[in-house]
Amino acid sequence: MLKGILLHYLRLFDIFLCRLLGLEKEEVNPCFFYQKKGNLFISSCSSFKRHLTHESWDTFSLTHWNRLKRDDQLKIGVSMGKSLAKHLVISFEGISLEQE
Amino acid sequence: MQLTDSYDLGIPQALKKLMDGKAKRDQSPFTICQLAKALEMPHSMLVKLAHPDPQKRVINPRIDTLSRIVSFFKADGFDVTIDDLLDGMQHKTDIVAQTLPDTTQRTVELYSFSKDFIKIGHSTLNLSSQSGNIIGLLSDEDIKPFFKAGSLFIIDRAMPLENEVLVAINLPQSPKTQIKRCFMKKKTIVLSDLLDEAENIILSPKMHYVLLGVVIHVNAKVS
Repeated sequence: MLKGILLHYLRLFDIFLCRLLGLEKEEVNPCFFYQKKGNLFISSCSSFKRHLTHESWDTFSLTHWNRLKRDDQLKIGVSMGKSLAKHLVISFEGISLEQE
Repeated sequence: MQLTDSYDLGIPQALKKLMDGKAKRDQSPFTICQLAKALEMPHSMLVKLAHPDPQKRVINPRIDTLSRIVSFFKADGFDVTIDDLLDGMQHKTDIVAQTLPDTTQRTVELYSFSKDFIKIGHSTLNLSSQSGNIIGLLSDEDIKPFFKAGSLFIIDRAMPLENEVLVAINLPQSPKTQIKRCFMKKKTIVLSDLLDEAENIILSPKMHYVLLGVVIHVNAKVS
């Protein structure tokens, strides 16, 4: 029981310290786009980690997309377009279709 | 110059990609022997550089050897640098360094991907292109390997064809409009599959094709 109480207060202290140092949110920062064996991959770095992680575009978009800043999303689109073809820009806007 | 952790793997990979790319574009095989002849280098030197067995591979080539290989392929129309050769032609695009293009809101007429070219409506989105001759194609199925169903392809009908653009084209063998990568050598247009699985198609005037235009923008669906 004492151990449980100690752990609880340690957790609270950890939360307080992280807030104080601005270490609350884990951010993902996309760095590079590249193609390999016909698939798209993205290298990114995460908060508090020194190494780059390499994921396929499908995995990255499933796990990290909604956490990205809007500017990063736009830049990913520009990079993706450049990776795929000349004069190509890719966007991920939600658009409405007005049918005939 | 940045070296990857396994740059000794990069050079054989890059050489293979360049030679395969040249063979595909020129529609004729291109061998190590031919490359050695073109570079005026011993054939054995290139074989050791590109050897699949790491024990038999040369892992510290001279810079002038790499320069000559790069110069040859550059003169032949390939966009390649020594860094690309060392990197295995991974062609990394730096996301952070990208500048966002200026965009304006445009309303685009939308059509289906069927060959009947059925108009389905219109949509408004932000585009960087100022071209007056653009249409949109809405995909009702995945266009592998990158685009999910529901992605919107904006086609510029006035843009001239160039090397390495994506094009929307109606071909006789397919009931739907296809998205292909375009390569040009002199006056020959070669279309390659995005998946690189299907054979290349050389467009000829005798083929009954309809080239809709160059794909300049894709509003993609995120999975």
